Amino acid sequence: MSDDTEDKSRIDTLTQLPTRAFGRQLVEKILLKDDVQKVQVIICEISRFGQMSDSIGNALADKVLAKVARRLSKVFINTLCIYRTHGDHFCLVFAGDVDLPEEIERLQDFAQRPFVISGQVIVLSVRIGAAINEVKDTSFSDTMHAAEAALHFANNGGLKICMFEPFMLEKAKTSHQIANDLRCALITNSLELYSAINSEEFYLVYQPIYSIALDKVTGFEALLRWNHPERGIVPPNNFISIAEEIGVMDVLGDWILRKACLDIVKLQQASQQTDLMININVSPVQFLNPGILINSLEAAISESGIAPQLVRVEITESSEFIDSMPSTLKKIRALGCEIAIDDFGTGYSSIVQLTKLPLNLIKVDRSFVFQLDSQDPEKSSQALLIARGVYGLAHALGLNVITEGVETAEQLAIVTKLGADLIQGFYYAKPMYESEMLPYLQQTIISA
Amino acid sequence: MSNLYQLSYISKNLVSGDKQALQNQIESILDSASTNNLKLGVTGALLYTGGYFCQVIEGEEENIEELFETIQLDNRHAELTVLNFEKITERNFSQWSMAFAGIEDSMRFDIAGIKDSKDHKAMKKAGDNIVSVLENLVRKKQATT
Repeated sequence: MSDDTEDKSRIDTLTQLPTRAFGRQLVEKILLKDDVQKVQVIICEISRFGQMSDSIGNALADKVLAKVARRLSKVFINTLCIYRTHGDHFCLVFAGDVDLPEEIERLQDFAQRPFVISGQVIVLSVRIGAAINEVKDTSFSDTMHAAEAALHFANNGGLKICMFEPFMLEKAKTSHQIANDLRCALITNSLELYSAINSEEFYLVYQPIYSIALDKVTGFEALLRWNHPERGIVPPNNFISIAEEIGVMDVLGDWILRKACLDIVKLQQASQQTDLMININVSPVQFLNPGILINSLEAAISESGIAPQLVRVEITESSEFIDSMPSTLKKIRALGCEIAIDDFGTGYSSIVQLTKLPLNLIKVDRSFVFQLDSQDPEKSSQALLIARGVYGLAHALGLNVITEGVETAEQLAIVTKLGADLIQGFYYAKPMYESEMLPYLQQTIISA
Repeated sequence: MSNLYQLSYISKNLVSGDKQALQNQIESILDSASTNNLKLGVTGALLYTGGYFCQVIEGEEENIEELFETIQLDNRHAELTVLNFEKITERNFSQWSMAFAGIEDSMRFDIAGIKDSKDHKAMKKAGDNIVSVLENLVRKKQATT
């Protein structure tokens, strides 16, 4: 091997730190040679580095990585080794009894101090996963694996720092398997998105939405389900975030839009209720590729022949994607579709956003409804006050309100009195298969 | 063509001890700044006010970049906030590798307000304000010595 090639395999040209393979080798050698009892690893990831890279450009983003590497090398002279594991992930390996929480604090401090790069001031934040192992019990690669699992756990839980605990490995393993299975179930052929899902594993269920003023079911919300060949039904909470993370949400979202529109048109024709609406959830990450989202929506409308005003796009507000949302939402409105903001009153949704986003409806989160008839009078009266305020505000802004999670006649009576327009919940019906929608509609017409 | 930039920042003093200890530390900061800045062609000014350092540095972009990174890693201060960083056509402290504007016991600026402000314009205004205060102080000091 020539010196040059040898250098390339040992030194990461971007950061001038050891490459991952060489870094590991170095550490393993030292651990074997010296009598080190304990190895401690911190892996840090620059938060939202991908988005930053998109906005400042790859060349500048590379300079940021180089600067971070240089700063870490200068500050953490007490490490066995510092290297970049991949992308924006840096790994710091300590031997012996260093005070890891203190090192983590130092890392946070120094990584978050401003950088001046190419005429710009750049301030970063980091997420950290860390692990401590006795050298005699575990290999270095196990310790790395543990720190990675802790970082993964931090990412999923929205934590800044996470110290490894054994249950995280199991969690990381499951989520890795789900990600793999998702990739297998979805053929990500971007030219033919609709045919991308050639699997029978995904299906939609529909939950009726009932109008109080019209006293009938006026639409359905489409909800995604995954029937995994081995795991059985995987709850959406367990796979949607992974689909978002591994970048398959555009494909999945495209399939949902098209399938839901086709199904509702079929139902409109069979039931002769041609004004039935379809509510379809769109993930915040789909707003990162607005072109794909708008194309999917247009295709779903034209293929199914549905009147666009009968399509209601449900969004959840996310601080991460808020910048790209308003212009895309305007395009969706321009197509003729309605927009509802989901889970209002939780997470990032705020009153200010009601005026900033081009909305038609808000969906009050089920947690409010649960508290309305709570046995605790203090809780129920507080919930009543909040609900009254939310309904009043929505109506004052000309927005209709869908109330989710209505399960009892008492809850229905309370929200009706408060001015709810549309109701969704087990009181009327649980989500049902496509084949059950027509019988359900016919039965509700008869019983009315 | 010159690629001149000016950067102003505030940071919290971590030097403990009495006024004399502080004065010694500041002298050592000024000593090393004079040598390093001269090499890098950087000019600027420093003021100590109510527990905070207010500093302005100006020079070629890559030199400011390098110096700023060194300043960042100095253990004598923390909580560094960049107020303004912009391209300039001429220097405000061209005759000084690091002019010292003095030690003030009480706070001259609304540091808490500046640090909490996420408003870019307000930060720039604070930065401009610090540059002009430093300029005046340096001029006054120069006139009396």
